[in-house]
Amino acid sequence: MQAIGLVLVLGGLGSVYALLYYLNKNTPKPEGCEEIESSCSGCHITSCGHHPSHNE
Amino acid sequence: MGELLTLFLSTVLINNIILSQFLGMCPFMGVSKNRSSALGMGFAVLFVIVGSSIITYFLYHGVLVTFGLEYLQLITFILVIACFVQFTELFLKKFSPSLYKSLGIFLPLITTNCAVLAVALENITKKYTIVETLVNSVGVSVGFMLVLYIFSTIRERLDMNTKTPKAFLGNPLALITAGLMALAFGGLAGLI
Repeated sequence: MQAIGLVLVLGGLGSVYALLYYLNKNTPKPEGCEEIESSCSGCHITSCGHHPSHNE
Repeated sequence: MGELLTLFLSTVLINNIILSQFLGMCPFMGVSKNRSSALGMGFAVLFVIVGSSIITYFLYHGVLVTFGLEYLQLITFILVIACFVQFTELFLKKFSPSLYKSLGIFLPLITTNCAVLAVALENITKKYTIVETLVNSVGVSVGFMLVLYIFSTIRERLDMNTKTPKAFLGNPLALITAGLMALAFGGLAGLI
């Protein structure tokens, strides 16, 4: 019972995350927001996907 | 009602998530260079903390407890927060471009904000009811936003000061300011 629950919970949440990530990546940005990432000059949070260090 | 007000005030002023628990320091130092960014980050955190707290509350009591999987709370809460951030970004892209424009840049940062996870875990470990969970999460978020905004206004003024010694410019002065702010907020401990 516990093993089934474990697979259901982790599998379900993992699948939901993968689906949302895929949908989010494939959703076009609204007009005027295309340059939103390039407007970021970078803060101290280097783990952020927008940080300019990732584009080097 | 009185207990809820006490909980709210204590989370905003006395047990402030940044100044007394030292959580969420990354955005506190990183996104406090100007007021508009600080306010944008504050609102994004408010939205994600309240939303993820409600979802994690029902997930824990409805699913994890039912299956006897309480030990999985950490990994499931991280997944829930990551899903919630992805969903929020997707929703804003599709239905509210103006809000996406102002918050969009801060949304990916929230996944790595430990304050969000801390609130979700605290709600469970302290055995809060759903109303207390809601009040606690709103209080923590308002406290986060308040401190971030105050700190950004101070940093803006400090950056204009030409008399600051070179060795203190930037992060050293910001950290000293944060320490003084923590002391000032510590003075509110006798309020409740």
